[in-house]
Amino acid sequence: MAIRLSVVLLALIVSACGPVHKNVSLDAKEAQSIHVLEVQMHSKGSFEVIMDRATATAGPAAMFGLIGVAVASAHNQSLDNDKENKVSKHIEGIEHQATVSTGLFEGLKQQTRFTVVDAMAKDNAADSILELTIKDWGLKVADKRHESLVTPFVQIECVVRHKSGHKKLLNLHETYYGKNSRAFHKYEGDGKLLADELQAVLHEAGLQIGTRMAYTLGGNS
Amino acid sequence: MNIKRLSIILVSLGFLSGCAFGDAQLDIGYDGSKAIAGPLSKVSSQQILIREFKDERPEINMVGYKRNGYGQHTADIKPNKPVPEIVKDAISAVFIKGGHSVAQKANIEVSGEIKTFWFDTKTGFWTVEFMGDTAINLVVKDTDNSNIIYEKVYRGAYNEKSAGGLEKTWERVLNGALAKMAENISLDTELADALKKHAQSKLLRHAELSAH
Repeated sequence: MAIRLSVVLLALIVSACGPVHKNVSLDAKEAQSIHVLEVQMHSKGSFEVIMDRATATAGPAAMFGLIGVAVASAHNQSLDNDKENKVSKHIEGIEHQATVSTGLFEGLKQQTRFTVVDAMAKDNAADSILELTIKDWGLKVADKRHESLVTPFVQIECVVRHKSGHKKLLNLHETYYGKNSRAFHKYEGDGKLLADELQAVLHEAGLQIGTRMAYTLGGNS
Repeated sequence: MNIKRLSIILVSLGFLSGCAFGDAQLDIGYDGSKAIAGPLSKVSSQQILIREFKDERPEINMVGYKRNGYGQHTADIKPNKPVPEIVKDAISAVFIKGGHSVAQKANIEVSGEIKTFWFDTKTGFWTVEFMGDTAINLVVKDTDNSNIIYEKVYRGAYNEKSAGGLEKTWERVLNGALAKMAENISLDTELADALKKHAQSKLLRHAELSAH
């Protein structure tokens, strides 16, 4: 029975090779149907250090099965949690959602074809919604060959849809990285450096998404 | 653990890790037709010389490792053409889409260094994460006096998590990272502002010289 189950699982693994997230680009005709865009900001993730989890291998799975995975995963999570605690005081002043939002609105200002309204503005005449969700943000190993170095990052999902429907006109899943990769202890010892570089990547991510919207939805090009 | 179970696990790991010990070659390049005419298109049309980018990566002949289920390097993943050529073509496409001309006789020179151009995988229990990462330092200079007009590190990352994937997936992921980096250049308002400012100062200087 166990072998049959394994064969079925293997068949599923080999046949289901599509990516988990699929980006949807905006159709030019659909872009023209956007006149008033309401911006909704959400934050689902939290500050994370992804270092020991990023460098984990499938070794425990091969050697000890599911139990091996669970133990190794919990251990790596705990090591990353310790690192998060070490730098948590440095990020207390960072308003990650507001920083992304500032960049986003700066970018969106570059176009005049459609009006942008904040979700807080009641009874607005929005026909479309831009829903920006900040998933995880923090420090992450970006290059597997340099596992001792971490880079500030933010993972964002951005969806544009008509207010009256559920069809996603645009769906982006993007991870934005900072310019520098440094040893974790460097960030641990220099709170200002960490805060500055995190804020830079958060702002840059918002600005890029806004600029992209301005030049693809806004007919600015 | 009996022999059958061990075999199944090994075969599964083989599928997940790409399974081969031979080198792979990927068709890497930026599709210029997908370039975004971003803020660069708001700069008056410039003649731009794109120089070959210096490849500062430790392993210039490859763009990734094939790895087994334990993450060990088993073979190389190579590009179909040298990475500096791929990057130069991508940068050219970005400026052309922005309405500029790429020429040998130019008033602006673009050069720089390739910092990262790498594909990698991380094998989990159920899924494999495919990761593409590209980074360049882009330097824009005035060809008349070699003064730096603008300099910035651009990075492009593209990840996919799926149940498995071979060369076509790897190609898509690394091309996705290259496209993201090209897009970051296209969408950089500071680069466009620096070029606008430079073009205006050139015009002003030209007008002053003509007046004298």
